[in-house]
Amino acid sequence: MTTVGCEEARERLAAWLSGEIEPDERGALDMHLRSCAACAADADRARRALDVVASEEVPDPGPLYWSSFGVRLRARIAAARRRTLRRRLTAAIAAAAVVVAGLAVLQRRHEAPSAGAGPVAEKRPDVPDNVPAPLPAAKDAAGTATDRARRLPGQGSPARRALPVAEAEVRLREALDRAVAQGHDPGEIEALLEEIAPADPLDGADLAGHLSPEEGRRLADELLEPRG
Amino acid sequence: MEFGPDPQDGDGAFVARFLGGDESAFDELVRRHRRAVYRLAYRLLGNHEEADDVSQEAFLRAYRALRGFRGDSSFRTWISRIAINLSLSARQVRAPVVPIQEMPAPGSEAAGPEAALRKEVRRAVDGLPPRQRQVLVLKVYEGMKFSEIALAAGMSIGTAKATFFQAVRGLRARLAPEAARRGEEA
Repeated sequence: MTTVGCEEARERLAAWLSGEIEPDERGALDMHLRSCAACAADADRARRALDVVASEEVPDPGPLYWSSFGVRLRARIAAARRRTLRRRLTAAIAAAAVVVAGLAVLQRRHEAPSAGAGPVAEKRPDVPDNVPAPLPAAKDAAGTATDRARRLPGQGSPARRALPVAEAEVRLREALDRAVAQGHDPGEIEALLEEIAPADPLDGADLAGHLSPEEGRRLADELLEPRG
Repeated sequence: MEFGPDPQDGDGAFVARFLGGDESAFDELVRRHRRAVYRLAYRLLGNHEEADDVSQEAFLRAYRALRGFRGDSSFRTWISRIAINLSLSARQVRAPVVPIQEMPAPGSEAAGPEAALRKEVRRAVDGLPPRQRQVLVLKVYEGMKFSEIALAAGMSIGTAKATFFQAVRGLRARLAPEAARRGEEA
């Protein structure tokens, strides 16, 4: 067994105090402590200090607290999902509104040269009169899903989508139209969003709660970044 | 010396079930670790309100990030690290206050030797630099090995050992009179 000096003994003290010390290191340290009164006293004081610290208990908040812990956590998770859902919908609507507005401007520019040439015939060849006119290209960009939902029976299976989704899409379409007409007022978009996606924990909860593996890894890494 | 309880693993199965879509598996993980997370936060923050908030927030963030959990460490180490970072942030933003527990209630025996000792211990631990405090709490109260502390606190094993030693030295200096008195009584 190798012998150790005072300096090395002090270095090994942390491992000794923590109990994580290799047997041969422990033997050498014990031997040194038996022969060096100063180091032995030092180690003893350190151990007593830790004993005092370890005797300090955390007050238990009680069974009522623990029985409500999971319920409160679930409520917090649901609230976080609602916030995430709202943020995503708001971003989607805002982005769609910008696209719609841009396309509308492009369409107006495109139609401008024929404006003075008198009314253009609205009649479309090869299309029966009872079929609604197609929506302008500008609106189609944001309203494709709605259009599918509005198709007449027999013109496509999406017409039979679940009512809340179809209704939400119609409202979204209307909200976008109004947002375009009124210059994308964020306050109104938010208010309309509340109509479209009310704060219901079951409404779209899965969307907000599930991250892709890549998103999850990024979030996990961010959580582990020391902030202190 | 009584260190914290041994880590009980076997959480991997619950993590796998949760990733497979079983929400109740996350509730089980919460049940298994909520007390440890609360205790850890309490020891780092010193009061119930903040410890409660940090505990809840730690599990919320774990819930959202669990799909990215790579299993490099145990769930316990991982959730501990989240709680540590949240506690650090909470300490940074709050104004320095005297924890309620340190204020003697009217008519209590707070002036007794036991209460004085506890107060001294709390003050000594509170007075340590944040990293030393973290390592001390994880080692003494949570019973983690240095390898686990390194993962939980985001440092090398050597740094964890050195930091622990510095923390003990700091405590020893602060608690020497109390420890000596206790030793004489024992």
